[in-house]
Amino acid sequence: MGRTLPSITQAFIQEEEAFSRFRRALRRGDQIALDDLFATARKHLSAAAYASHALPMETFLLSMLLEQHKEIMQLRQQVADLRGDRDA
Amino acid sequence: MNALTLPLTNRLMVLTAPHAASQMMLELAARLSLNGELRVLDGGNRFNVYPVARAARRHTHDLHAALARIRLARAFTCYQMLAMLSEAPADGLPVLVIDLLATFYDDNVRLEESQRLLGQCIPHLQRLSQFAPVVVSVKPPAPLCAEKIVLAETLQAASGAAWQLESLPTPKTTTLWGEEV
Repeated sequence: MGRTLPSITQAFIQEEEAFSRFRRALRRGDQIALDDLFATARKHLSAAAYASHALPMETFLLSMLLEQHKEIMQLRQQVADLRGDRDA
Repeated sequence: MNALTLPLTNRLMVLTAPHAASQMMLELAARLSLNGELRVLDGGNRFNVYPVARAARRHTHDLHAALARIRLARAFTCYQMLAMLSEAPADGLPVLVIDLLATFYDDNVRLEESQRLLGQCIPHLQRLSQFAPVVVSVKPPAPLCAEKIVLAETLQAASGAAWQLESLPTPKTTTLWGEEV
């Protein structure tokens, strides 16, 4: 019978390809940052598949935000630790 | 082709195009879903809901309501396609048949059998088109079964309007340094 819906990985690749012209127009440094963003979204593909959202790109964007926020939380913790060390 | 604008009139319209004009049909499904229910019969497993959702989202915030108005059925053999068409009620819902002939082009189905089944499908399409617009998309047969082009021709002859779309060459981007491939 075959698949009736592309897998989440196929959807992710298609979305990534849809931005290929945008990526080409970016500076090299920005291209690396963009690739990094997509790489972070890729970490949550299984969750995105489970969500089975009608607009998967929204899930991918949220995955990117999630990873960004995790990084911010880690950095905040590090800053707080450093301040604690300095004040001690 | 300009005649394929909304609102569609009650007639049988046939689009012949590479890939059975699936992108256009999905866009049309999304546009029709904004106004009411519709029936989509998919003969080539071409109904991908993601582009439909994207297209519908451009026009409405209530995406799930729009998607819920699409009644989708898929056929994986030409016999199933005939059964789907014969069982489709003439209830006034617009009908989109995507890649109708995909299963009729199957190597395992002889041309005579395909013609017989298509001959039974056409009256059902015409029956449905009396009460609602029916848009059918087909693709030309692959070179291996080129003789089955008669199926597309038969369908076009039975339609109220027929369009033949051809793929355009990929546009080249001109830059300061010449043309990009």
